[in-house]
Amino acid sequence: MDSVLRGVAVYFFLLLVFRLAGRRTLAETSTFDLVLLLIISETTQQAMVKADNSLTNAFLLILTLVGTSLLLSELKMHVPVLTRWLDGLPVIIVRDGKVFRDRMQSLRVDEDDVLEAARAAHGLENMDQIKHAVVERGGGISIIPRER
Amino acid sequence: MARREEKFEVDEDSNFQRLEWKVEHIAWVVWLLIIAAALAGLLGPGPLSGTRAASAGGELEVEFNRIERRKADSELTFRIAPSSVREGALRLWTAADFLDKVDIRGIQPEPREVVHAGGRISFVFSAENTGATAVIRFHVQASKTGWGRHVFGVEGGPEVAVTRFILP
Repeated sequence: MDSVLRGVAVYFFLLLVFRLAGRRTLAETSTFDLVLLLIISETTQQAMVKADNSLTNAFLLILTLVGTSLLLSELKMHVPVLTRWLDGLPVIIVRDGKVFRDRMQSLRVDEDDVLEAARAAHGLENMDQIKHAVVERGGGISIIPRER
Repeated sequence: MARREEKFEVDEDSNFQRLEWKVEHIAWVVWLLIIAAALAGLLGPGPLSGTRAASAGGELEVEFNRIERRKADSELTFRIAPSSVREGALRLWTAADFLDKVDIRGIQPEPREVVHAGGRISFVFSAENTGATAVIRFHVQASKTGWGRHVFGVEGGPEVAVTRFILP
């Protein structure tokens, strides 16, 4: 019983923390994000597994975590409001070439990030070639190039 | 004729977005407060948590943390005046339900014997009255969350109450 409750508690706590930290926190696994991820998983492991290193406990925890995730995605299908709060919404940061700096600042995205995404996805060279740019729910940046 | 603007279909909602960012910023302030509270000792051992309780005459004193965490190591340090030594022994007692709330991981020095009688557990230590204060350290882990009140006493002598709050 204890490990199921611990698993669920840790799951929701991490969900809450990363949601509140903003979508860019673990968006692309840069060096910093990797360090963060490693430390957090190590810390989490201590609290979840405690002194019980049995297979039973490990299997139970895995089932609990995957089950919670399944349950949440099922719930999100039926309750759209939940999706907003859990995953957020995409944010347009460039629309028809117009750059929304205030939004970029709130999302902690700078022009370099946008240009990087533009280069990677479409081989674009500068901001003028970008028609739309959207920060997606997962924190990635999508670019729609201007037609030439 | 102007080209008709194609619809760029993105499910965005700037009101919701503003609300989200507001919630985020509030959360960051709350995080700061939580970290500050932890540093101060409001979420476990720390400067504001450490305290001591003493019997009326000061013969028995306990040093402890007001706030502890469940299943985490903690200490109760007793300082007992030499006048409490009787017949070559120091007898420190507590209510028997102490063991329901707390796991004793070790006692320094080790007691000579532990006597269970009349709802009390007495820890008997060999001692001589040389005029020095005896220091006894209990290494414990709380096993129940919430407020925990424990009474300790020296047999035939003073009593002292310790109240701790145990976080999950």
